[in-house]
Amino acid sequence: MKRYFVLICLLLTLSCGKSSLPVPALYEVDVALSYPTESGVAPHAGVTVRLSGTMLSLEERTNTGGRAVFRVPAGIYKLFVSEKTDGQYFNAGKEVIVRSAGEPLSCPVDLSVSRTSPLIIKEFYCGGCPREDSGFYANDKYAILYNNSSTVILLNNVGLAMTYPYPATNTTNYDYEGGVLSYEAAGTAPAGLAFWTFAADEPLLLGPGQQKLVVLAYAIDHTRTFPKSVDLSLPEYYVVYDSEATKNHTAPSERIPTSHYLKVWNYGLTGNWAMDRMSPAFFIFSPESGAALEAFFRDGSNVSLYNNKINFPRKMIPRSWLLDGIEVFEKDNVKNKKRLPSHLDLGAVDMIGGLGYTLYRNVDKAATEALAENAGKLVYNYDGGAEGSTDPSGIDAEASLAAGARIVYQDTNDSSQDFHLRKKSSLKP
Amino acid sequence: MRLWGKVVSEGGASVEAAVIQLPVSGQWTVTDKNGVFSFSNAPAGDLEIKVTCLGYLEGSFRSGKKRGELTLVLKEDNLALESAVVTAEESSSSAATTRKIDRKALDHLQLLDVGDISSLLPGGKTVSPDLTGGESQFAVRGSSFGTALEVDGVRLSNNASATQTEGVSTRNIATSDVASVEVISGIPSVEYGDLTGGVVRIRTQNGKTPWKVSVTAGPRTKQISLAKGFSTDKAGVFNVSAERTRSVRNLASPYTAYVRNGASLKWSQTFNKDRSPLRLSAVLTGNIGGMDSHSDPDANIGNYSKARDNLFRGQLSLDWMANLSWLTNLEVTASVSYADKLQETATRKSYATAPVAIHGIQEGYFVAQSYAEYPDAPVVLLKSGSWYEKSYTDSRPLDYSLKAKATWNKAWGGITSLLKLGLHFDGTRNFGRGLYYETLAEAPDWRPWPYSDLPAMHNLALFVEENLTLPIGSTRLQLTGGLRWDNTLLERTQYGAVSSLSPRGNLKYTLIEGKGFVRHLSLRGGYGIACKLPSFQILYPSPSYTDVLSFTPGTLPDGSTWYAWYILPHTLEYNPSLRWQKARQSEVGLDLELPFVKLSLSAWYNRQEDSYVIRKRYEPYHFKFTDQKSLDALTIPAENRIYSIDRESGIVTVSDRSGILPAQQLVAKDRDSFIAQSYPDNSSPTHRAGVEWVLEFKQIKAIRTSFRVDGSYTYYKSLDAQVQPYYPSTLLADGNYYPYVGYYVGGASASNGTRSESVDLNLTTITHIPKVRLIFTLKLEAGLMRYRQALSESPDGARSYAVNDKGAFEPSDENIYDSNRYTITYPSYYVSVMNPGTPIPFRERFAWAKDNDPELYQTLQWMVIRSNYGYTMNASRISPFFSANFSVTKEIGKIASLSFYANNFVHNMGTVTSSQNGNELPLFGSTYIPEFYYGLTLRLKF
Repeated sequence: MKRYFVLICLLLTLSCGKSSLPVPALYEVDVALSYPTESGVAPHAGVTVRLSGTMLSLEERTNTGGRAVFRVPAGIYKLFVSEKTDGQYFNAGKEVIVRSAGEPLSCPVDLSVSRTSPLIIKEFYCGGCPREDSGFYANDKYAILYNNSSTVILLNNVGLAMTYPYPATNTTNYDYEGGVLSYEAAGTAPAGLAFWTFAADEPLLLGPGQQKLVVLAYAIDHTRTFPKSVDLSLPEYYVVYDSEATKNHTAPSERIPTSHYLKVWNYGLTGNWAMDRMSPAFFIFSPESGAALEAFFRDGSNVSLYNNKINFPRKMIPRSWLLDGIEVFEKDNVKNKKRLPSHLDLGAVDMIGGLGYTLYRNVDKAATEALAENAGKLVYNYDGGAEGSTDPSGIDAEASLAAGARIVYQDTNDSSQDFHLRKKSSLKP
Repeated sequence: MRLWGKVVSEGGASVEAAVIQLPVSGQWTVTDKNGVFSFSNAPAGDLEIKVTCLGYLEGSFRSGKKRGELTLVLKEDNLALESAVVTAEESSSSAATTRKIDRKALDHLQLLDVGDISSLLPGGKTVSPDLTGGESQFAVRGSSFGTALEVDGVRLSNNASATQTEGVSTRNIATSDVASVEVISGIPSVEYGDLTGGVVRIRTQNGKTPWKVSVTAGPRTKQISLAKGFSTDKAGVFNVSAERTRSVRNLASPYTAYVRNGASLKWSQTFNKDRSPLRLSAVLTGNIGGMDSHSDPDANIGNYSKARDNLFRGQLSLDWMANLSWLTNLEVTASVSYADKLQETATRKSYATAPVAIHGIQEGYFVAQSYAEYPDAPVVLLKSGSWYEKSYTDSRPLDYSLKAKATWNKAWGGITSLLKLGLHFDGTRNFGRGLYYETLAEAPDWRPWPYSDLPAMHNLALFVEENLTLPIGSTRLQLTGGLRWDNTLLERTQYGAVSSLSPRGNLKYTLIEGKGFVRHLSLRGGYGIACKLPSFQILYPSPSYTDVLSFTPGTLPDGSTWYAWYILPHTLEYNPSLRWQKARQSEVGLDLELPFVKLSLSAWYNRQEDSYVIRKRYEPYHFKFTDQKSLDALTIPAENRIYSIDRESGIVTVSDRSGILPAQQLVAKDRDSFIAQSYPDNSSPTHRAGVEWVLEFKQIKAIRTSFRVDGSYTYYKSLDAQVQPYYPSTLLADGNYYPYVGYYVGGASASNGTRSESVDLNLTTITHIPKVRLIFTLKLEAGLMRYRQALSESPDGARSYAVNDKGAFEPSDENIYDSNRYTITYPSYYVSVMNPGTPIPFRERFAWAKDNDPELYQTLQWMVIRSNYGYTMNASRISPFFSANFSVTKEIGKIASLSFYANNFVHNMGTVTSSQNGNELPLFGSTYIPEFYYGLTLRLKF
């Protein structure tokens, strides 16, 4: 009997031995960062490099030589680097294909300077809201521009534009050549069909922590027919509207003065300026001067036609004018493709349209808490995020602003890090 | 001399109401209750006698030289017959290519839509039955609009449609009642008019029959039918039939469906059978049904669309064998047909602001007024909110006709002559209300346009035709020649009367007919002209209005915006030089019969001229535009403003509701643009040609199987050589509208024509076992060639140019048809809004502007039409594809018969390659092969 007992125990221990789980073959990716010579920055340690694929996302910090090594299975990945050194911002984004071959993949990454801007997009509401019966309503789009710095800004000649209104999920993006946007190197951004500027005869000032809401669709009170929508008829709002260039748009509320209608610089509009509901790409820019803007507009040679179609003209806004942009992707759609150059927006934020969600910028926790005037006014335990997305700082920006705080928002020029999906528009209580 | 006898079935029973014909003299009579017939003065000699009766195979007999009581035995038409045919049969008697499909073939095919018989024609492809795919039309050697469709001698017409120029829909024809279908693809007799293609003649069941019940089931289609033919002692023969067919669109959600509930009642009685029979018959047919998606719980709540397809037809015919020296036979038919095609659609609409609806029909500037207070204002403002917009399109066409045909038979020597003289008067009109909405408080822009206001169209036709058969030695020559004169009368229009002459002729030369190695050899040919009447859509273009936004104030808190609009109505554009669509048809054919094979070959060419088309014309106009900025200087507070606009000048005046402040005029901008006006016209000729062949091999007795190979080659070319305008409706940077209209040969697109060719080949094996009364057919359908080439040609030189770079505006020297070239098309000339009478040649001006006027160069770029893809002008050749179907019919005893078919039973999941862009296209779900489908029918006879 005892013999059998020992035999059984032996068998059990043998069978309970370490089971071998299959491990995929891993390949080395050797990342080496390099900085532009005029920046005067040398490769250094401590920079976070992100490598993300469809099912895997890894982060590594660089060593003293500015190098980082990853070991990953074969596949297609995107590499992101974003950092601030010596007051300068650098970023880079690159596609990396890891093949099931033997040698380590060497991956040099050229970082480019990325500006932060005093004027940023604080909130971008483009997805619309659900209707009472069925379906969605999306004529209530707006963007809130915010002065993120501590100095006063002049809004005259600040321009708004969107890439020609195709969604990120179109099967073919004709701007791609060899897997890269044709204008990525130049760093310009295409303004589709027209761009709009604040048109004011006197200086239009925006103080620190102040904001302007620009209606990107119809500036009326939508809640009368669609209670889940927002009221965009307040007299302090601005609106992208021209009575002839966008004559198919509903006329703005008469409470909004005509001086709040943005000026249209039209080279392709025929009655509609329709921003995509699910995945638009929107950006703001500021030319050196009004004269430079005029000359830019008059110059017929800087028009490029999307896919050579005469009715899809764009003007490529020069790199030095670009301020801030937001690239919106449709969540869980494999066809999303970037349209903004990397220095303007390195990544993209995922959006679900038609549910009343908005894209709200994350708070820069360190910079906001550092401000003395915010003592005691900051509200924490933020739970306004939707679908698992939230503001990592935990600060409830709107509540804090209501309490009188001055928020400094995060601006790393990577909307996948800078924005989160918020349950409700900030205009709704 | 008297000729008499009795008609019996194989079992010995007498056959009542059988029709006896003597082709040589054109005489006919009908057997009585005892199957007895008698001709009191038939010609002498050995005569050919033809006997037809529903349910029996057509019998052909000879009288013999001596006269005595004849006994003619008819064989029951079922699968026990050695010679059962379930495919289309070439009709040997006529000189024009004609094919006949009888009930056995229709049963074997399990016909649900009459249009599906095209699969039995040479090269025809099977289509799986689906009645929910929209109106289905049938086309024979022409367009569907030009193909004539007749049921029991009454022509079906779709001319009274104000919204489409298409052929008649075959969806609402009850297929269980069809006895035979005859397709005349060659040059039709001048008896048939209002066509530019072939003729399809449908005959329904007529005669004494047992009770017939049939049930058909397929994945998406179900049919049940009932029919009976009663023969009474004194009151003639009655036929009643009823059918219900339901076809759903989606098997997983069987709610959106097309339903056909047809019923018919027929009566016929023959008097004076012995001497000069007079046959009277009447038919009453109706169909109630249509498309409906209302009950579909998978659709958005409350959104639905319904379309009625109700039809009532009555006809009365008289067929008198006068047997006089100056008249052999007289046929008169009168018919009336009324259809109800009401369409109803409900769509959910939501508006955040008060929507504007424009109803004005007079020219001028008008400010919007509240619908609640002024419902008749030209521009009304509705309430914001949500509702279901219910729209109705009411079309109720009525067609009536009277046909009379007199024939005169004569025979002398071996020559027979048949002279036809006839008259055909028909009219068509529409009683419908047109488009209207349930309530104007929830309707968009709308002006009333009732179809009942449109004048009726009447056509009077006279025709004469001579058919001559001459024996020449051992050969025989058949000649047919006729002339038809059509005169169309339109009341109250500028068209007046339009007439046309259509001469047509056929000849058939039979070289060999006998028992030698070559059993039969004949050659035939024909040529004819035919013309087609226009539809109401072409005759009476709908009145159109240009509505231009003229004033935009701001939106008030309650959602209302008091816009003002400029309404510019267009006068009805009659085109006084509109010609009737015409076709020149020609054909040659060969029929050869050898001991083991029968060959029928025909080649045809059809040139359709003056096809009906709707064109656009642009005219400049001027209007005033006032926007919100002009309100900035107003002192009147926003809530007290009342806007009014001067009807002629377009200047807006704002008054103070409180009366305190004086009225102020606003400053308006001047704008110039072009408006489009539509008018009917004739387009450039279309060429169609083809070759059809049918090879029928004699049955191989050992395996009881015969083979049939049929196929067709079709060629199509159309090129639009007419100059048509195009206006890029875009705004320039300074807010002005685009100032030019371009004129392009064949319209503003990369191509102005098409050339296509196709070759289809079918191999059918027919296994027939009469002892078991079973027939099994296996059909292999091959699409051997599908060639299509977009054309860009102009009579004055090059129309399009290839470009080196995809985005270039300047032409290169390459050929546009070379592989993968993007092309640009310039207008021939353009005009400006300020100077519409001065055409400016485009190419020269564009080249000049490039170097001398960059702003003009940029503006003119809008008129350069670029092909969408580099492969647009590539030839498209689809690689060959195949599909196989089988069908089996078994008769069970005397009372039942069961049929089963499976289309594409191998479930072909292959792909074809398109040479145009190198893409591979899946055959599954494509139009190349039918979808996998099957059906089962049970027929009972008792």
